[in-house]
Amino acid sequence: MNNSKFVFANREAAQKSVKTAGSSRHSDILRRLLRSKSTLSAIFCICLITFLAVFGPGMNRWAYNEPRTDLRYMPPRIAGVERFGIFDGSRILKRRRAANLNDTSVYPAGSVLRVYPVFIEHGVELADAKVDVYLLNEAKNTYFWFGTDYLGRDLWTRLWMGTRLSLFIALTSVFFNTVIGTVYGAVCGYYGGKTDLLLMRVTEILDSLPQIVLFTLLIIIIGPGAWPIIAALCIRGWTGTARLVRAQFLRYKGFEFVLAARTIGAGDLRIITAHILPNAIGPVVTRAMAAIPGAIFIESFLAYLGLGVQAPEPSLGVLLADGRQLLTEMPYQTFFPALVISVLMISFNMLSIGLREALDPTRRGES
Amino acid sequence: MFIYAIKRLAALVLTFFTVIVLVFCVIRLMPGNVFDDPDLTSAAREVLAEREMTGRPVLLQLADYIRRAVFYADFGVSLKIDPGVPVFSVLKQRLPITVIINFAALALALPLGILLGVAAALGRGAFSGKAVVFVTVMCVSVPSFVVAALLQYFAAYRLGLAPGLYMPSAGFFERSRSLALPVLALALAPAAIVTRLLRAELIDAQNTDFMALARAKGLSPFRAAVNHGLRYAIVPLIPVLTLMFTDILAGSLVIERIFSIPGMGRVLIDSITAKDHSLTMAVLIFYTFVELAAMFLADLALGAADPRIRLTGGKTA
Repeated sequence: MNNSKFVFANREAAQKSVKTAGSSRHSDILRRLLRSKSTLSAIFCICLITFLAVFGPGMNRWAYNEPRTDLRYMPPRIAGVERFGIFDGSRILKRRRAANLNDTSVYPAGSVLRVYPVFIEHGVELADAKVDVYLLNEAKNTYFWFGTDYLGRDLWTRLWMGTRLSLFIALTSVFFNTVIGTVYGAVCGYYGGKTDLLLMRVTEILDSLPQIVLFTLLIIIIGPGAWPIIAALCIRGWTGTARLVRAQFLRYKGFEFVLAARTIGAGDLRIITAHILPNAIGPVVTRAMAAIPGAIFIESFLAYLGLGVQAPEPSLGVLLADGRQLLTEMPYQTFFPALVISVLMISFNMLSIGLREALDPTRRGES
Repeated sequence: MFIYAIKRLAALVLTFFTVIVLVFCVIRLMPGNVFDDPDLTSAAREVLAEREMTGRPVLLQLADYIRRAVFYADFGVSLKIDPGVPVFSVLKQRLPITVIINFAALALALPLGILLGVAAALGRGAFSGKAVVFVTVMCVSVPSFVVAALLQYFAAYRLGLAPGLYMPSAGFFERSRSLALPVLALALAPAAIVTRLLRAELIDAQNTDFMALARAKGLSPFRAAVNHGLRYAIVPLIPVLTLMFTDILAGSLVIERIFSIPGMGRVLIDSITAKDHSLTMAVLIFYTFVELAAMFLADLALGAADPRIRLTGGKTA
């Protein structure tokens, strides 16, 4: 037998290669979270929209509530992209006198991009024409990236200011709800007994108040605006979180590690915050994520009805409501805010699903 | 079951009463309400003082309001929207159209959601769970008014499939056609919710012994799912149904506005902006009543479906 074919294994290297860093619970969750492509793209969309909501309004020279009455209803125009025939600041004008289309005193040179077939109505030659509205209004070097609204305000700036306000309302209310709900649920679940019974009865009463009634009353009392919406969202938005945290506390407070903590002399507050709460935090975060799109929806819903954020402040709902009047002639005024709100809500929902799966891999695919 | 029903009913009646007191006190005690309006003529003021007992203690006003509402269906008189017309007849006129679109949306969403849910659960191999989740999340996430705007632009304006606005004076057929888009806009999200939930529950049911038995005795996967799985899967759906119903109800506020449907939602919004508080109050009572009634029905259905709930009074749910 020829032993020369065998060599001693490099034991050191072999041992080294199986050594990996131990994975903590949190890094494990993070790894699972980032493995999912849909979650990653949701995070990317949220980051992008948040970035634009913060820095978008500063990207051009227009202020969000600066009316330009000479430049109302301008179509979108973006430098560079305009060469490809989109966002080129043109609009199809219907039923114009055909003879005027060649008159440079009415339509400055080069402003008429395309003339559609001429037709005759009441003996007058009419034609539809695609016209560069920026040239027509003698604003050759002006660029409104997303166009302007009925007062000539820049829609790009207004869109991101509106997103900022919508996000602010949503995040503030969800933050308050999460904090209130966590404290309330922790107290209920930890102390139990009569305290629990009494406190949970309060949440039941709050839950049975119809949302429409709550909003209407708050609007009647405080008047329309951002703060009544936040207040209305906070009055009963926290009960779900409270119930969730309570259930977690009921589950964990009998565990050995709680007993151990108590044995070495930890007080109630320490057991609640340092020992039980970290175990309950996952579902709470998931729930908060899932609540954000709901808050965004309610904000824009009320604004859409004219009961929410008031002019001249923009919010996504205000922009959508403004755009609705012009839906058939200028769909772009509806399109951009509709896109932002839809992407935002889908992303937050996808993220909350991703979080839930990462926290509890056994429930994959249920959601 | 009977005791359980009585208990739930008592709790909801109490809530209903609380809400009425709350709404009444807020509207009457708030400064700047319609009764302090300086533009009110002295004649109107006298009528108000007599009818609404303004100037008397609020509790007395409340008692009188409830007495008249219960015995005479008299909710006061509209002051701004339809001056002089009793609130009850204003609402009676607006109610049918709202009821129609709400129930039509529910009637569309439920069967559609159940059908798609069963299909998605059975066809797990054909389309991946990820795709189903994504599509349903999309339907749930996109707000109903965005869906409505898209429908109005593409289906109505571009393609001309259905009218983009409600046509109150058209014939029956045209009028129903003009309700197609609003109902669709309202039904999309609830249908997606039902689909997603039902799919998850049905897949869950596949692992149970009774499903294994159903398959073992020779039922096809479809028959097994419909005859045995659905019964199991439908229970968690019931509480969601009430939520769905109230969501549709709230959604119809904005949908009615978009498609200019003269329903209850319109009255509520108009009365708030016009500060016609007798009207606001009556509409809020209406909405509260409907929501609580829906809750009651859901409680009953849950109790009927799951004995554990009716025996423990809903504590395990």
